[in-house]
This record gives sequence, C-alpha cells and structure tokens, in this order.
Amino acid sequence: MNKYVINIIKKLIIGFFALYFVSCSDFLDKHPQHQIASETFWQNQKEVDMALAGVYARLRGFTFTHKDASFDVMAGDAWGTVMALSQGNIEPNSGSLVTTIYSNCYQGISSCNFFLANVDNAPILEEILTMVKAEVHFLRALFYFTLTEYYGGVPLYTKPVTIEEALVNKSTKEEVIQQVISDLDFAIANLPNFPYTDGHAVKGSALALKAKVLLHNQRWQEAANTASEIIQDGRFSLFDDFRTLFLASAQNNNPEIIFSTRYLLPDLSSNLDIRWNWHGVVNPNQELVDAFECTDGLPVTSSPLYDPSDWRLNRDPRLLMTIKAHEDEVVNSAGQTVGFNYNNISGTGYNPVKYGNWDVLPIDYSTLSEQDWILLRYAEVLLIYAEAKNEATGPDASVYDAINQVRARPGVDMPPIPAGLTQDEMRQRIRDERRVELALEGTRWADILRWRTAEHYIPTIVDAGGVRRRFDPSKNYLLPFPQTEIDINPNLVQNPGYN
Amino acid sequence: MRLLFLCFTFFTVLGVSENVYPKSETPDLTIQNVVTGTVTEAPTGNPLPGVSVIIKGTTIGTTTNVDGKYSLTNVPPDAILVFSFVGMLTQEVAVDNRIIIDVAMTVDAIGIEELVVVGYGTQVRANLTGSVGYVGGQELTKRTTPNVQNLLQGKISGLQVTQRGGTPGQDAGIMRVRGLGTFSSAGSSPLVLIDGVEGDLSKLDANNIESISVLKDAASASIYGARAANGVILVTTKRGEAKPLTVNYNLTLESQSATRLPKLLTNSADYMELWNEANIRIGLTPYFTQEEINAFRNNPNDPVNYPNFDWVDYMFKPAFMQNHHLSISGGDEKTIYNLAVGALAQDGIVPLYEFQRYNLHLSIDSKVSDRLTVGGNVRGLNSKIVQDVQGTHVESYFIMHCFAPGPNYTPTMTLPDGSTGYVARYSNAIAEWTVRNPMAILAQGSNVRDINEVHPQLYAEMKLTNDLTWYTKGAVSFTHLFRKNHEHEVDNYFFKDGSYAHNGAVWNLGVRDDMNTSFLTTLYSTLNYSKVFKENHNLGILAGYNQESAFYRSLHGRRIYFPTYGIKEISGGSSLNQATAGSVSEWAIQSLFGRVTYDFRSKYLFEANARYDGTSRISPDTRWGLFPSVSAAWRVSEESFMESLDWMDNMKLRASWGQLGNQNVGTYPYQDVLSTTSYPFASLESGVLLTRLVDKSLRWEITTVTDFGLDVSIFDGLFSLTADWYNKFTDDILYSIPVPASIGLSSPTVNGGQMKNTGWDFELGHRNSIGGLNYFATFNLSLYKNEVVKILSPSYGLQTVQEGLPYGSWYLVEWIGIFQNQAEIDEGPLHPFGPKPGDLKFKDQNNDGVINADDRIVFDGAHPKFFYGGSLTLSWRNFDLSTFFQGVHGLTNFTRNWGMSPFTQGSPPTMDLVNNRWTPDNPTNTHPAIFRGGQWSSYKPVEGTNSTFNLHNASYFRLKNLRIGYTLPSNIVQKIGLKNAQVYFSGDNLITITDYPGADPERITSGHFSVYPQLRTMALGINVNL
Repeated sequence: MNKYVINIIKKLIIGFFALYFVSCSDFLDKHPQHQIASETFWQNQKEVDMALAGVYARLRGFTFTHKDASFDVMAGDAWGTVMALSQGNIEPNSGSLVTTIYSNCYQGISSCNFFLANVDNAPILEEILTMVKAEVHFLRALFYFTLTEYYGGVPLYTKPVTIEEALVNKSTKEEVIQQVISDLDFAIANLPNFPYTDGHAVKGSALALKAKVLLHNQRWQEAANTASEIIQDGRFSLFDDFRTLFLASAQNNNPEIIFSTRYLLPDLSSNLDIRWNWHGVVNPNQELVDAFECTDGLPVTSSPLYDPSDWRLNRDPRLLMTIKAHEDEVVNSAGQTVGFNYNNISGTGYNPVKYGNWDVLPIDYSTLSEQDWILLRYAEVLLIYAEAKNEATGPDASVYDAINQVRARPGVDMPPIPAGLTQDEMRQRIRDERRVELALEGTRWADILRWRTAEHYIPTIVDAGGVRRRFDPSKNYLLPFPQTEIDINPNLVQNPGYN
Repeated sequence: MRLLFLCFTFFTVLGVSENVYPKSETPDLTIQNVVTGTVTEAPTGNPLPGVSVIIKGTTIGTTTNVDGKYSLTNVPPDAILVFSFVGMLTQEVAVDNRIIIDVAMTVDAIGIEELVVVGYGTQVRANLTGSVGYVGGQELTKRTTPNVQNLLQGKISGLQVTQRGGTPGQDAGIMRVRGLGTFSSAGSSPLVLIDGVEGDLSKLDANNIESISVLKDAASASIYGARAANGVILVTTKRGEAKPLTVNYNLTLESQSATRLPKLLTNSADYMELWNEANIRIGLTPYFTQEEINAFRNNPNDPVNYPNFDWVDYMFKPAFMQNHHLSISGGDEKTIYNLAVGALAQDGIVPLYEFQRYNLHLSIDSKVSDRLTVGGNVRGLNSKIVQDVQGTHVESYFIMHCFAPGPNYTPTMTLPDGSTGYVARYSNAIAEWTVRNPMAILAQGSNVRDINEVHPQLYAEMKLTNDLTWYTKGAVSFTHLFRKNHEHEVDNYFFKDGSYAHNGAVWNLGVRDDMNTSFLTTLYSTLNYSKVFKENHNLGILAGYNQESAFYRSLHGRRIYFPTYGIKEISGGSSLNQATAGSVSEWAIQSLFGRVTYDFRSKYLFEANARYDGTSRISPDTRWGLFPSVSAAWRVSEESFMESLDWMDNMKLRASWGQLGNQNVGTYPYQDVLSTTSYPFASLESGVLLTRLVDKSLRWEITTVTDFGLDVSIFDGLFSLTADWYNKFTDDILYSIPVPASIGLSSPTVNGGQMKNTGWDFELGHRNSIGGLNYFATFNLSLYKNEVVKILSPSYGLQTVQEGLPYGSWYLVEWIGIFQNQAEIDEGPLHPFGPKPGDLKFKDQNNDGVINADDRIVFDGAHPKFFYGGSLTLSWRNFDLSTFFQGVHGLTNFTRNWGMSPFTQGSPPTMDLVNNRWTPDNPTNTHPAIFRGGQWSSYKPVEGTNSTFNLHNASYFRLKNLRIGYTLPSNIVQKIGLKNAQVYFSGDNLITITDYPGADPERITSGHFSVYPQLRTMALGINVNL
C-alpha cells in the first residue's frame, strides 16, 4: 500500500473521532415519543380537552366501576370477592377496599388539583375555561365525598402537593364536606343545564350529587330542596325499562342517567360480564332475595302470594331483573335461551341479572363489556327527596309521590305504598325501597353505615361454610386508614379503634 | 423444505469434493518421499495410537496405529509435520529430509500460555490480574442441547445458569454471575457481547463459537463501565484459518423425553371417591354418586365408557430433534474465510410444540497490506416457535392442562348425535370450572413466533507504527419478531351424557398479530500501544471510544370476528371491535475507556482500567459517570527462590478492586411526562394525566467488587487450582420510595438500597495419562452469601426482604406434622380455619397459643448454598469419552397447585399422597388427609397458611451429559475421501438424584408446580471433515 492510501486512512481516523465528539451533545438526548412532556403542555383548547379527559379517566378506578358491587358484599347483600373484609376482618393492613377506595379517590383528586392548578395558563375562551373547571370541581367533589363516606375526615388538599406537603393530619369530616359543597356550588353555578348525554357532567349531575351529599350528612331540608330542584326542572325522568337501563344499548341519552362512568368498545371495555356472569364473583344472598316484596306489595313473610316452593313466583318484577338462580338459563335479545358456564359455584345459589348482557353468552376471556356504570340516576334522586323530606318534615304527599313514582315504573308496576304511615314507618319503607331499587349498584354499604343499622344487620348474616359475619360498632362505621399511610405520614391520626 | 435443501447442499458438496479431492491433493513436488515413525507419550514412552499426523498446509495426513506407528507417502523433504492429539501439546516437526521421525508427545499443561479474550483485546492467561472464566467452543458442543446459555451451565465457577424448563425455543436459562447483583428492576443479568456487540446467547449456534470468556470481577469488567455490574460474557465466534479449504459437517439426531413427570392417580373410581371425600371435608356436596363410582369400579375394561385415563402418559411423548451444521473455511496468507450454516428442528414432547432454527454465519478477514487488515462478519437467524394459544405465559399453562384433567374422561368422545367432540369434564354435577382439556386447547389454534435477525459488522485494524494499532468496528443488529396468535372457539361436552359444556373460554378470539423490531448500532474504536522496554518492562496502553444506540418499535393489531376459522390473516376479519396499539423507545450510551497494563518480567503485574460513560437514561446533569478498577498479580513461581521447585508450573496471587454500573434504570426514568389515556364522551377522546413523581437526580446503581485470587499448577498440569474470594457490594439500588397514597401519584424511583454478595469460586483440574489412556478432570464449585444491607422499608410476604437477610428469604409458618386426633387439636395452640384430624399442625413460634402471621420465621433456600459442575474426559486409542455433571445444593422451591395440590380445578392427587395420606388407620405425620387445593374453595387448614408444607428441597445432582465418540481409523475414512470422521453418542440429563417431589427440580424458584419439563436426550451424531 502506498503512502497516499495511508494518508487517506489517517485522515479518516481523525474525521471519525471528530464526528463522534461533534455529535456528542444530542446523541444522548432521547425523549419518549409516545408521551407528552408536562412542561410544554396546556398550549391550546385541544390540550385542555385532553387533560380533562385524563381527569374523567380516573373514574375507571375500582371504586367508580362495576367492581364497587363488592360494596354490596360489604353491605351484606351478597357473597363474593371481599369475603374476609365483609366478615369483619377490617384492619389497617387488610388491603383490598381499605386501600383501593383511598387510593382511587386520591388519584382522582390529584388529577383534579393538577388540572385546576394549570388550566388557567391555557389560552382559551373564558366561558370554556369556567365550564371545564366546573366539571373538574364536580369530579373533585365526587372523590372527596366518596372518601368521607368510608373514612370520615381525610387529609384535604385543594392544590398539587409535594411529598412533604402531603404529610398532614386529616381534616374533620365537616371540613371536607364543606369543601365538597363549595366545589359543587361552583359546578352548579357554571355547568350547563343540559340533559346528561355525552359523559360530561351537567348541572343536574352536580345538583344530584349535592342532594346526596346533604342527605348523607343529615342536612335534610337542604337535601330535599336540592333534590326538588332537579325534580321540578323536569330534565330527567324514570326510564321505562328497568332491565335495559343497565345495558349499553339503552344507556346513551337515557333520561334517567344523571352521571356514570362510561365505556365504549373496542378500546374502553370493562370485564363486567366476565366477572359477574362467568367468574361469578358477586353472589346475591337469600337476605337480598327476601327483601323484594310480592306483587301485592307485601313482604314474603306475610304475602299470601309467596310460594315457598318457587321463590320466583309473584314477586316484585325488579327481583328477576336483579337476581337469578345459579342454574337458571336466560333469554338473550334474539329470543334464544342461553345457559351459563360459571367458573365458580355460587356461594349463595344466586347470581346477578342487573347489568348482565346475555347477548355475550357464553363468556370467555375475549368478552368485552361496555355497560356504563351508573353513579347517579333519577330514581335515586326521587328516593333522596323522599327520605330527606320525610326526615325534615314528615311523610307528606310529596314523599308518597316520590316513592310511588319509583314503584310505578312501567314494567315494575308495584302497588303504591299504603297511606297513613308514621314518619318512622315511612323511614323504613324508604330504606326498603332503596335496597331493592338500587340493589347491587354499590349504594347500600354507605346507607347502612349512615343509618347506623350495620351493627344490627351484619351479624345476622351467616355465609356459606357457616361463618357468621361480625361488625364492631365501636370502630367499623369507618374504615381504617391503610397502615402504609400511617407509616409514611406521621401526622395522620388513625381512625378510632384501629390503633 | 429448507432442511431438505441443506441436505442436498451437503451431499452436493460431498460429491463435488470427491471429484476435486484427488486433483487438489496431487503433489506438485516431484520427489516422492515416505516418512515413517512412532509416536510415544512422554515421559512414559508408551506408544500413542490415534495421533493425527498431517503435512502442514495440506490436508494430507494419517493417524498412528495401535502401536503408535504411522507412515506417510509423498512428503516433500522440506515439509513440516503436525502431530496432534486430544489433551496433548501439538507439535510441529520439520521433515528436513528425514525418513524416520519419532515424536514424544507431552501432556498439554493447563494452557497458561493460551490467549484469553478480555475486554477490547486478548491477554495471555498467565498474565491475567482479574478473575476471568473461560470455556472453549469444543467444550460447549459436547452437549447437543440447542441453547448456548444452557451449555454454559456448570462450566464456569461463579456463573449460575438456571434453566426454566425445556420448552422448545424458549428454554433460555437465567444467568447470574456471583450471586444476585441487585433486587431492582435494573436486573441481575450479565452483559453479553458477541464479537463486541451486545447480543443474545440463545440466538447462537454453539458450533459457531470459538470461545466464551466470563469477566467476573471489576478488574476485568470495568472497561465495560455502566453495563458491567452483573458481569460480562464475551463470545468470540469462529473465523477462518490460513489453510486449504476445510469442510466440516456435523449431524445429530436425537430423541428427547421428559426427565421426570409427576405420578398422578389414574384410577377413576379412587379419584372420584377421594374428590367426594375432599368436598365433604370442606363442607361442599360430593360431586359423584355411589352408582357412578361403582360403575367405574365394576367396569375396569371399558376404556370408552369407564376410562382410567392416564393424561400424563397420553400427552407426553418422546420427540425428535435434528441438528445439522455445515462449515466451509479456509484461506491463505492474505484472506481467510469461514462460512457456516446450521439447521435445527426440535419437536416438543407435547403435541404442537415445535422449534426451528436456521443460523448463518459468515466471516472474512483480509490483510490488505502489511499494516492494514479489514474484515467483517454477518450472523443471520431465522427461527420459528410454535406453541398453543396460551403459550405466551412464562409458567407454561399448557403443561398445567396436561397434568390436571381427571382420569374419568378421555380427550374426545362420541356425542349422542354420533359425531366426535372434545370433553370438558366428567359431568355438569361438578359445579366448578375444571382445568381444560389440553387436546381441546390445541384444537383452538396456535401461537407462532417468527424471529428474523441479522447482525452484520465490519472492522479495520491498522498498525500505525510497530507498537501502535488502531482498531475500529461498526455493527448493527436488527431483530424482528412477529407473533401471530390465532384462536377460535371449540365446543366442549360433558363426558357423562354428551351434553354441551362450554366453548373453550378463549383468551384472544380471532387473530392477534404482534410485531417487535429492534435496531442496535454499535461503533467503537481503540488505539492500542504495547512496547517492551529494556527487555523486562512490558507496557500496554489502550484507549478507546464506544457509542451505541438502540431503537425499539412494536405494533399490535387484533381482529376478533372472522368468517371461518381457517383465515389466519388479520385482513380477513371484520373491523368490528378491532384494536391496535404500538410503542417506541430509545436509548443511547457513549463512552471513553482506557487500560494500562504493566509487568516486570511477567512476574509483577499491574493493570488499571477506567470507563467514562454517558447514558441517555439519566438526566443531563448527572448522566456521566466514571468506573475505575485496579488490579495486581504476583507470579510467585517466577521468583528465583522458587526455581528449585521445578514441579511448580505456575503460582500466582491476584488482587483487584473496582466499580461497575448498572444503567438499566428504565428508559426515561428522570423525565416528567404525562401518560396518555382516553375517555369516551360522545366519542372516544384521548386524554393525558400525570401519574407519577420523578426524581430527576436518579443515577445508576454502582457495584464495587473486591477480589483476591490464587492460581496454582503443578507437575506439568497434573493438578491445577484457581480460587477466588470476592465481595460484591451494590449501592444506590433503585427503589420506589414509599409516598403517601393521598398524594395520588405513584412513587418516584430513587437510589436507595444496598446489597452484598460475598463468596468463593473454585476451579480444580487434573490431567494425566496412564498407558494409552489420557484423561483430564475438572471440578468447579461456587458459593455465595447474599445479604440485603439497606432497604427503606422491609416487606414480609411469602418471601421477606429485610436488612441482614438474604434477599427474598422464605418467610413461612413451620409445618411440624399432622393432627392425629381432636384432643391434640384442642390441647395445642389455636390453629386458624378450624382443622380436623389429618390436617397440618404448625409450630407456635412465639408461644402465644395462636397460630398466625406472627409465627412466620425465615427459612433458608431462596439462594443455593453452593452449586457445582465437573467433567471427566478420557481418550484411549480412537475412543473418547466425556462425562459432565452439575448440581445445586441447598435450594428450596415453594410450589403448589396443578399437579401438586389435589383437585385444583380437578387435578388428580399425586400417587404419593394417595398411598401415604393420613387416615385414621394410617396415622402418619408426613402427609395430610385428602384435601382440595387451588385458589377457589381450597381447603384452608392445609392451604390457607403459607407454610413449609409447600416448601420443597430442589437440590439436585445430575449427570448432565455423557458422550462417547469413536474416531474412524484414518486409512478407512481416507478411502472414502474424508479427512477424518467421528461418530458419537451424547446423552443429556441421564441421571438425576434429588428429593424434589414428582417433577423436575431444575426450574425457576417458585410459583405453579407445573412447568415444561427438562429434557432427557439421547443423541447419535456424526462429524466429518473433508
């Protein structure tokens, strides 16, 4: 090889090294290409919409989906996934609902606070800005209210916090509720008064939630007034098919639904049918079945129509639209009789009907469900009104009217409740009506806690295998804070009885 | 088809060579000369048969006969004869016009002068100051198992290889160098470099490997800096040699079967009775009537209606594997080349499972001038792995389905309408989901992975001066994985009456395609200076630059509804509910590195290494880090005062210290990013949300290794010993710090933990020759102690993580026997779940009268006490025999479920439990009464408490391989135109000694009992050179 070639090669070597170091600076700068850097966000309307969708997406946590039917297991209406807890083994390190409700709600709150702290930077129309903020205030109220239902007072943050700032003691339940009402008032003032059609919270959503918050905090007259406002407005009404109210086919633009966690195939699906109707993880129990009246409006204990040899006969039609026997076949929308192939034996002999989509039977791991999980519906508003009004001023005609509307829904057609009830009798009627109307929707657990009836009812239940449930009234009306939370946050005082 | 083609190619080559052979071998030298002689063994003088004698630079040669005599014709007077024999030093003798040449061969000493591949270079073994394990390619190919990773098992002290199972194409083990380096997601797998480029051992054909070095300590590994914390494995592939064309063909044909399979109850009547009994014990109604049981009992010879079906026997069958390897290599003074193609086809021991692999390897090196060498190589791979539709799961679900169906039904049955259908389970009276019929799963579809890879690299090496060499290599690695899952419903029926049961519970209905590609570019350049000053001072300096960048992309698509099951392509399906997904990620690393070596007369040796790494994974403020090491060695045997000890070949003391990094901290761990999500308003809208806290100052984990070593060899390699003590301390282990859940964001990863591994590596060698029998034996032993030094908060699960304990120590209630009667239960500590006689009895460690979580204590066995390997190789005349054994001691596994826990989804109980279970008449303390296992309705007095009942001793000793070869006499093979030929038998996993119950002890640590079994193989092979 001649010197000329060697020279060229020498120059190449020098060139190589030069190239390396010139390219040095950006060679190591790699950024995730399918994610968005938080510093450069909030530039326009589109990005605000994305951030808003992100907050709503927090509803898909356990607590605001079909999985909160495990709340009905806690309430003593069913046997299923959270057995240890429901049988009274509620401790700070029990995990399960003790931690999931807490973390679901705070993940939602964190997203709300992050949104509210940053959205003002976005160059968008003032009216739109106010409206999206109202939606997020509504969601924050929902998250904090849910926390107060099960934990009482909790740490209260209204803006994003650092780890150090997060280490505070709980606020009182009253302080948190005050924040919830204030958020809801902002939402009510700024949300459009539209029907609930596209998943965005509307004024009615905020009013309904406010009525519920007030009721659950024994602010009877305010609750009745707020519920009355929705009733008077007339924008929402009972849907005339109790069965399909809980199926995707009838849920869009449904006049009864006031707020829900939404799903849409194929990308946003739930495993509701897999869990309920294949794995069979929620098994309504005999006590719940017996809570449904006969068609004459009398309880099974006294109705002459009750047939002990077949519990299905002559019952409140809502029963067979809520519960089925484990072995029963069903009819799908094409009119075919289809069977189940449950993965597990029912612990009670019953399985749910409500929310079950028989068109996807038989179910396998490919089955996708898109039933929206209803968080607020008009029937509950009527029952909120009835309960609040009865507590505030006694069983007047408007109370009868509200409860009888729910019973008279087409296809339910239950007779009106008897006239001349005392306030106490009416209270029991309303509670019974809530139980059957809202069965397996995740509401009853909070009800028996706020009514303080859990201590009487829960210990009457004997689960499969002969285990009697326990409820300690000195502490079980609240859940404990998760032990990890107490360990990490030295300022947080554990709920009574859990130390 | 491709295999056929390969065979065709091979025979064509054979045919051609027969024509070409005489021509090319016609000596162009005129003088015909005959050389004869006797080859003996020094110092005994015994004749050595089977020694290869070849005229250098040609393929002319012969082997010595029984008396050690040979005769060669046509030997040019100026030729050089090459004498070689396994285990002996090869000798080259100039003919120098002689006609009788006798040679005395000496045993090859331990090879202290051989070159060992180290980071960015080679080093004479005697001059190593760090701890480097080494294994030659010929040592690997003694076994015929397809995965190179498993071939390394037991070969090198300090390297632990745990094979997961025998799944064809997915049998890659877990490799650990000197214990568990870290407990974080950064991982403890060593860095594997194939010809200097990061790669995957499992993708190689062992026949193409020249050697493998394992850099175990910081002194040897720190030149790889931020990626070397878990050790470095350097693979060097074969290149050509400057000699005439050599064609080598190797073929193995083998039969494979499971090493061990559980022995399960296959008597249906007993099975049904016991299941009833287990149900009654837990308070459930029995599933079988007495009439049903009697019908099975009374009709033992009616396999159609009353089967006693042995599913394990039915599902597992011996399988066939064939492996072809053809290499063509050669070259001259200027250019050398090596071309190799390999084809492997392995059937599973269960139906459908299959693995095919085609390897291509081509290398060319050319001396362009005295100063410049350029070359390159290309590695190609095409492989295919076929599995059932659940094959995506690590713990083979399919094997669980093979272990667990009941004996009272058969895979298929005749339905009431006369057609044939798959059986779901015995009857619908069994009101729970039982494990699925494996044959029905196979009918549901398949999961096929197609892997294509190409790894080209080019280099140039230039001597800038006599002492200074510049070397640059550029390489890309492209891998492409395409996975197609095709699944459809299959109807299953109840065996008893043929009624419909279910449609198979499909996981991914329709077609799901996944495509993953990765692209890695590597560029490095070194300047190497080496010079001897004043004869005694040897100095070497290496400086280099390295950059690598990697890009990964994945794309997934799925369609659910297809007009017929036959359509497997995604475009044939309906777009209803179709779904897509995809992702990309990237990383890059840039490095400067250097090494200085100095020795004085090879007596006092010093070495220092350093690497300065910058990685894209860490914030720009902290992304550069320095990883230094220093080491020294003293060859005592070179001292003058040792000269009188002439039996001492070598004695060297070594010491080293250094730091290594682990950059696998995630791809973008420090970057504040919003996660994407979506929410369905009127239509689906994409969304973003903040989900995590980040620590911007995150940096890599740092491992500091101190090593002291001793190498001794005596009596010309009669005995040799290498021993190392090490302390490997990992700091800044990634850790998710606990944050309050009320912050609503996931915790940031920070550098927080510390862990330590201290241990010993030993390697012993013995080499001797008695009469015509040469043998050498090796043994290696590794022991380490793992200790968690610092964590932010301990965890107390089935395995506990606490400071001062080995990571992941078992944390269990101690099982101490079986309750014999109610009185014993009443008097003893209160057990949970209300046990009955026949249930497990636990120890009340804290004597508080209650068995609960407070009674858990730590049990050993999460890490082995020691592991070892060894070999014995003998050669006698034309025969050679090698045995290789390997074992692990002091390891325990926690396993239960299918195949182990009776009636887990219907699993038959083991015969061990059936025969030895507690009954009032058999008051044993070793086996409980019959019970139900599994996740649902498991019998809590047995399975409700995590106890040592499920902790099994997984120690084993295994004859991993036995190989017997016979080299055909050269006068015979030469007649048919071959240079030499060997036939051999090679068997794997022939003997296993273990206490592990039922299945194979060698597996990943815990989890389901059922995994794809290891394979016992019997191979016949032939290796020919022409």
